[in-house]
Amino acid sequence: MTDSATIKYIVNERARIHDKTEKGVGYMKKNTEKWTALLMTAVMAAGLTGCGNAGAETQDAKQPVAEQAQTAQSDTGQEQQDAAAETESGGAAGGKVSVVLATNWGEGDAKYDYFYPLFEKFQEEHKDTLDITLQTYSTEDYKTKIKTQTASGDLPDVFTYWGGGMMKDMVDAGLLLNVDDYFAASSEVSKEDFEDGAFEYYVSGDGNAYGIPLESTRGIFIANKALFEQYDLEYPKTYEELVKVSEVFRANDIIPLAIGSNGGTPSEFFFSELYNQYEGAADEIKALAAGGSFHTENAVRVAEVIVDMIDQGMLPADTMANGGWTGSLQLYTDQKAAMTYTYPWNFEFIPDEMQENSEIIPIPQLPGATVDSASMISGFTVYGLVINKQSFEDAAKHDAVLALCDFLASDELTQELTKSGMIPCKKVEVNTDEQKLIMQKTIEYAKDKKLVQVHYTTMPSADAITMMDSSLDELFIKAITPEEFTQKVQAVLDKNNE
Amino acid sequence: MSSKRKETLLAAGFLMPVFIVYTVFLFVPLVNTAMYSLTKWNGVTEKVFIGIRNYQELFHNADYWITFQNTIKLVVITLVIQIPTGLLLAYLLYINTKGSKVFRTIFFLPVVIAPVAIALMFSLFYNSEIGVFNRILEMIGLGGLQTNWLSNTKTLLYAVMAPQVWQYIGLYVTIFLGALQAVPEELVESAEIDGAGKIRTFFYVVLPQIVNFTNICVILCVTGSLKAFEHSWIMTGGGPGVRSAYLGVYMYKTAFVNSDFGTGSAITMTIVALSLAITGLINGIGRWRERE
Amino acid sequence: MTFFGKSWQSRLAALCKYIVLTLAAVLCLYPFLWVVLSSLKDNSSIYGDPFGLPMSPMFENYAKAWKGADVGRNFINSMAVCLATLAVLIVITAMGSYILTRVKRSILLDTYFSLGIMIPIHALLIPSVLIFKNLHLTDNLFSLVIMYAAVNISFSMFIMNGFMKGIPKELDEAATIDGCGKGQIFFRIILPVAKPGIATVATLAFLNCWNDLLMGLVLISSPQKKTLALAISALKGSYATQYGLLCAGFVISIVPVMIMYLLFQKQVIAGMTAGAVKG
Repeated sequence: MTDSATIKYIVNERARIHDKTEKGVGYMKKNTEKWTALLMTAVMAAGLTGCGNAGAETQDAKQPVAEQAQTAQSDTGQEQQDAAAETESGGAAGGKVSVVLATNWGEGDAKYDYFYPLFEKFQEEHKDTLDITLQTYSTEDYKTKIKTQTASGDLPDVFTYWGGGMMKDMVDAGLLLNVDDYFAASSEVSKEDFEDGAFEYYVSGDGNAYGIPLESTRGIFIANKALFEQYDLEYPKTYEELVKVSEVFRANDIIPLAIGSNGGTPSEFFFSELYNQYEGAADEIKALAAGGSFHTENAVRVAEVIVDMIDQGMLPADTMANGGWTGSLQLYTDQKAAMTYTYPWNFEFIPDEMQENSEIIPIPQLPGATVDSASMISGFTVYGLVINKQSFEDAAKHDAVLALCDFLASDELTQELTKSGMIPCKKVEVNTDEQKLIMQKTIEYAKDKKLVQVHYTTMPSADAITMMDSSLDELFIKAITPEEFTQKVQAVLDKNNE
Repeated sequence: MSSKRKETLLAAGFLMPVFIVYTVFLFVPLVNTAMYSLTKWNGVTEKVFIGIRNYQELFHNADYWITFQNTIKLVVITLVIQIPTGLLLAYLLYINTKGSKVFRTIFFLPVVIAPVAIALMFSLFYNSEIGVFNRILEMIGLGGLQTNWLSNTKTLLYAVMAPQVWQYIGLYVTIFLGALQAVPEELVESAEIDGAGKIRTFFYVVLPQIVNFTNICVILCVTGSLKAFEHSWIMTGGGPGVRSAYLGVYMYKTAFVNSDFGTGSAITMTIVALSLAITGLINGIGRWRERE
Repeated sequence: MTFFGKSWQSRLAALCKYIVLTLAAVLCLYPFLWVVLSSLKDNSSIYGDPFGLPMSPMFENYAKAWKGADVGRNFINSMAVCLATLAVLIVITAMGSYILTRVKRSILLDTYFSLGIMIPIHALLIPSVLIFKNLHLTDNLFSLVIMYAAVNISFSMFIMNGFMKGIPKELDEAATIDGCGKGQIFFRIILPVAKPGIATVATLAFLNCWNDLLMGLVLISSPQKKTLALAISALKGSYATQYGLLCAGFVISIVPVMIMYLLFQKQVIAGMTAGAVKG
């Protein structure tokens, strides 16, 4: 609206309100409650129209308010709004294409320091053609943000996101691009550049992949060398040996295994790692994605082993307070615990001398387990990149999105991110000398091992993961039995399959 | 224009802005939420109208009732602890003019600290391996009470409540201090001249004067507890299971973690209904007492 | 009342009183101190020695938090939004409250306005995003101002009503005799008298807006429009958080609120009284 039009609008609007009130006052002035009731009715009417499914309806109902709000705005407000309108349209204003990149690699994240300089460089190189808005959030905030943006249809053009059960609803609604389309269009990145099986996490029920895997991981079981030497102990190879070792440590006020459970971390991954030792377990985990069962004999068995570990005092008694990635690791790095189970994203919190002092060992073989734990390591895609289908197919944005994705999946950025402790999904040359010592040990250890999956990546829906996490916490405080634990998770899967 | 007409016009004009902002941006969203609660909606695909099925499922869900009970427990505990403690501290400040300004500023300090920081501090505090809580208990001869505060089903919920209850006491100190300062000084002085001790003066003279102030505190307590979210979410994620979750946490988990916005909205509506019922009750009691 | 020769009972009582007050003060002061101390530590000393002094204070946490949260820019955003919210909120609630308490009473509207205090903020996230999208105010700080005003109306009206009810009717009557209209009475007489009520609303609303994370999160997208709370929250890591850095962020964001409270403390306490007495 131009200024004169605005003024005209206000004048007309005022005249209209004035007229109305003049006429209305006659019957309203005496009875306040009646007048109130009238207001209420108007509100109810407005409220109800506001809830129709059709967006257009809602828009009509609220348009006048918008205009009032606009006229009431201060100058700066108006400017901001104009700026917002510009970015919103994302059009090729002034020859530049606006694209939005969102990620949870925020300022406090380990990846940020490696990602941001390269991102700035990329932005600089394309400053004449691209206008990229980078939106960063912490993980919890990010999930909420993306969910509201999905609901309001404002998804970013390119964003990092989880696969499996987390992306399912978006895929079903056709919001994400089948990445084959991207690879077909890209001259720089191809599907073959990635590790075998890296795409599995992003493969949906229709067999297509809807995300470009960026980060892979390896679960490692580490032992404090010095503590084992001090008490003249051997690394346990079987569960019986673990029990014996634990007795010695406990007698000396050392927690044998620093593994807690708070929100399912890190217990959930430990559970899967143990699970993989049993006959047919690997296939059962894989089958989960396609409607397989969680409540299996193996699951109950593993849960029973965990309860036994708790009963034997192997795990920290205060599992909630010592759960989570940071909490579990801390007891180990403070040498209050002899062993722990951890992942590369925690490596930067392991002090140098502890990296030196840590040995990666196979998890002790559980009773009745048939798969040799020394032959495998859990390794799976945890994170990647998804592309907004609409943006990719929008002729104005297509090239911009393509260029941005090429950058995000480039060898250069991938190599840089490995310095933060990220194991890449892409096959790139990694200079091991630049890595942390513990990372070098992990790479060395994982070399000849078979990679196995975890429940987290194959669970078909987000609520099943949530249930697994929160019930594992319950199992760890012994509030529920192994049987109840598996049934609770199964109940969620069954409900979704109805 | 008659002056009466002018007055009506003015009333309408003065009320309109607050009415519009409130209605469009608060009431309409609430009505929308009520509508969502009647649908099956994952936040992505089209909403499907399913009538009251979300409510039916909710009322048959054991987790819902656990969080419901937790919420009621929180309401009761905040009422029983925050209000008397707030009143006690305010009274001590009131009868002790020396340094009361410094004290009242300090008491308000926790109110402004982010719950994330408070929750983090308390979980380290409770930790049975590294925390000091158990050590303090041992020092004061209560070693027998030591436990894994956050991992014991008996103590878990209360351990999560404690930081929240404690953090907002300062708010009530401030309110009650204001209330006490409004009590006419002559009343107190004459009572003391008559030989009533400080404690008797408090119960027989001061307390009846400020009883009306408790109304705002009670409503703040109740609505605050019914909406409680942060401390539980940060310390335990509402878990293990839903053992330390309140309705607010359960709602967030259902809607934003599990993407079930229909059920999430239904939970919201029950929170609002519960608030209405409790505040209605409080106001009812207030009116009844006035009539007595 | 205080003179020498007091009985030992009253001396003992005074002693107890100070012990209780000091104990409570320590309990209230400690967490703030803890946040400050932790802001100078790294994770291993926060977890390893959570209640000790920082061995080698990490002042770089502040530098990093300042830069990471872009405090220079986001502080201004937050301040602008909060002050604009207060302006809108105070004007509209004072006007509304004036009518509802002194011109036309309405129990129905009183009840209607009190409903808002019961709505959990999470319930408003998605509907409000949709509304602002329809109004073409997505990613606009103005939408945040309106939303903050809206969610604070309930308790503001509550406090303001209590205050306005407490102002003697005679004031209006005298003014009417002098020939003042209702509008003039509001601006010339009621508003100046209602200052403590306004200060209370201002302080509590400021606290709410300044600390809000969720509304800012869903309504704002551009990094250059982020609020301080939002920017500080982004200091959390995706797997493990550097708590020292986060605490440094908290300290930075607490300071303005403390200044606000110290400035208006007296009015707030007076305003609370007035708001509560007739509430």
